[in-house]
Amino acid sequence: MAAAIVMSTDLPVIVVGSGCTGAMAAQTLVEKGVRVLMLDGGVKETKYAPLIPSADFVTLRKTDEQQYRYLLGDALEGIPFGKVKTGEHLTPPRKFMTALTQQFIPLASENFMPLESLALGGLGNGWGLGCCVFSDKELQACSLNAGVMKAAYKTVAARIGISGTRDDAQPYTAAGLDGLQPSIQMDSNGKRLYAAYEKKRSRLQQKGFYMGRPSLALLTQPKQDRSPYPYHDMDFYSDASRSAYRPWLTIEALQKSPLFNYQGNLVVLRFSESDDAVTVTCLRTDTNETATFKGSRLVLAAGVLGTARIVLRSFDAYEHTLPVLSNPYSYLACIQPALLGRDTDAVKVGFAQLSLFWDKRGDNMDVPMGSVYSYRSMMLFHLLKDSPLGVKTAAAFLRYMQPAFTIVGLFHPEKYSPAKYLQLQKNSTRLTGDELQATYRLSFEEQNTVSETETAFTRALRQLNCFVLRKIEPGHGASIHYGGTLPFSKQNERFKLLPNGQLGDTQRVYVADGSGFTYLPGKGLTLSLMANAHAVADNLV
Amino acid sequence: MLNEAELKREIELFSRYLVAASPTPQAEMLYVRALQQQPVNDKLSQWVIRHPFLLPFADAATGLFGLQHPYRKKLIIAFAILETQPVFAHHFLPENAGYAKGFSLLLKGISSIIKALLGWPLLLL
Repeated sequence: MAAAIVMSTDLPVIVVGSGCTGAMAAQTLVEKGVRVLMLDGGVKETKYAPLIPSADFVTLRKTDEQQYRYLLGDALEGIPFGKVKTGEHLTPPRKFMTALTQQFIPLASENFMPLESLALGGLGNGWGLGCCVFSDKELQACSLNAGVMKAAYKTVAARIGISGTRDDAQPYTAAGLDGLQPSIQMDSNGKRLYAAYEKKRSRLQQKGFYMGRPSLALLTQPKQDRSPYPYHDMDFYSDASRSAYRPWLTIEALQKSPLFNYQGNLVVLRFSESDDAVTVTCLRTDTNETATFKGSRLVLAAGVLGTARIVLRSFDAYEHTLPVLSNPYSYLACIQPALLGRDTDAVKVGFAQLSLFWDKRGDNMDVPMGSVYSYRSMMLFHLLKDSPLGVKTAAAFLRYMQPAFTIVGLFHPEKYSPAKYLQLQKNSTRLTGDELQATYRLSFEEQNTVSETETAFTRALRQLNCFVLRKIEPGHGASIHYGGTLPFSKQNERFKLLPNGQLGDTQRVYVADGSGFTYLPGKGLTLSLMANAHAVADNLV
Repeated sequence: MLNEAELKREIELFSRYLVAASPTPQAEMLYVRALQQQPVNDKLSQWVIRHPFLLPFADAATGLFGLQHPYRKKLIIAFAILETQPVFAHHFLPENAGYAKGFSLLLKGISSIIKALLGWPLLLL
């Protein structure tokens, strides 16, 4: 029984991964006086960040002679010429997020293109900052304890700092959270859309649509050593103000504690248990040599796919099938005609300015979410590739249209279905000796539901004088929301998680990422992932 | 593969077409580096260098092919590089213009379609 295991005073708790979940689990453990050893890929961005001056996007474009380096990249890696796929649009200063993944965490698939990271801070470096509290029904469908999660949401919110507004969207965003900072200001794109919503509120609400300001892990007031959002619109390039929460902020703070030990350049391969300890075997990314570490407990927070690899390898379960969940995702590229050729904004914001929810049954369950963005701090050449006109004419059109561009990122709820699964297969050509193979296909009914949702959002946006020009489907896995590989269960079974996050058929191994979630709501997932990670760590001691 | 002198002639031509000015030394250097790193071979560029008046027609005609046409790919690389030059920023940043501008753009669009039709034979090169 896990409860009979006594924590060794000599050995630390090992936390694998420094992303949103690893950072939260580690912070909880350290705050409880537990020694933590964090094992991490630890890739850092050091090339471009120092080049980016502290100024707004337009000023930089007009003045900075070195801008080509961080806008295009030294090897022009910022000009994606391939098919649109997950991560393709990361700006050069964000490309480090995916460094080394091909070599050390290979994935093969014909129909699933997830984004994984070995960076310090993991995928949290590219998080859109949207914070949503799941409803009781959603938590139940995720197999999460509502009481535990509600308390955990508050703890995490207080740590990371959240801005938001109590409005029509609040039941879907920051329900139950206190101490919200004021929302960021909207640009003319957001303001016009929201004004249209306010005029047509009752008609839209009759159809189940609710719009409001998103809750974002973004400061509008100072918090400790972090500054308010500076409206530089450099959100895809730089975190200089520290206004956006990134997990590396937590790691940086934890490194001041004598209880915390961070070891980078490591990819965890497997674990093995003995009577008094858990041993973790890693591959060093700088030397390709193996290294081992001993801990009293192991907390896996390597991301859903990373954790699946470690668990399958540790159980020598090659070719065993694990289910996987990933929210279907699409972009609606829209235009608000009233804003054509009207670049009058002083306020420019790269993060989501509005959220639109479709609660068609009115029960806060299976609610798809649209996040509304402007297209300001991106380069025109990204759009040229898709224009059928000549470059010169297309550029003139795009310049005129740019103030009116509105992008709606649409997240759909996700449930299990048979054609979504992972397997770890041996492959001697890989450094790790294996590769994860993924299959992901939506059933006919799921495809219909996605189409129906896109059509409903298109109609709702049209009512707000916002017209969809094009629907873009970047492929399965593009939502960067994954879960469900090791589902929560009350039975102590291999490849399942007990409600406290303990991996079935183990004594000392816990999982703090989204592997246990048995359902993924259409709402932003990250706050819930962090809350669960905190709850797992809190329960561990 | 084009040599450095030919690539410089190419970016000079593209820059004059796109921003009505010679490229900055930095843009010239970046274009040469980009095309030497990732060579893009097409006969159309060489033809257009010899007959610069054909450039707008080649641009319009290759629009429908997207990045699959090497000439279009080169022109977009040049565009991306010029977009990062502060001296040309005003050619690329959003502008505050009225509906009259929208009308003039419609005319430009029609003109582009005509140029694409006229430039179609260039794609046989």
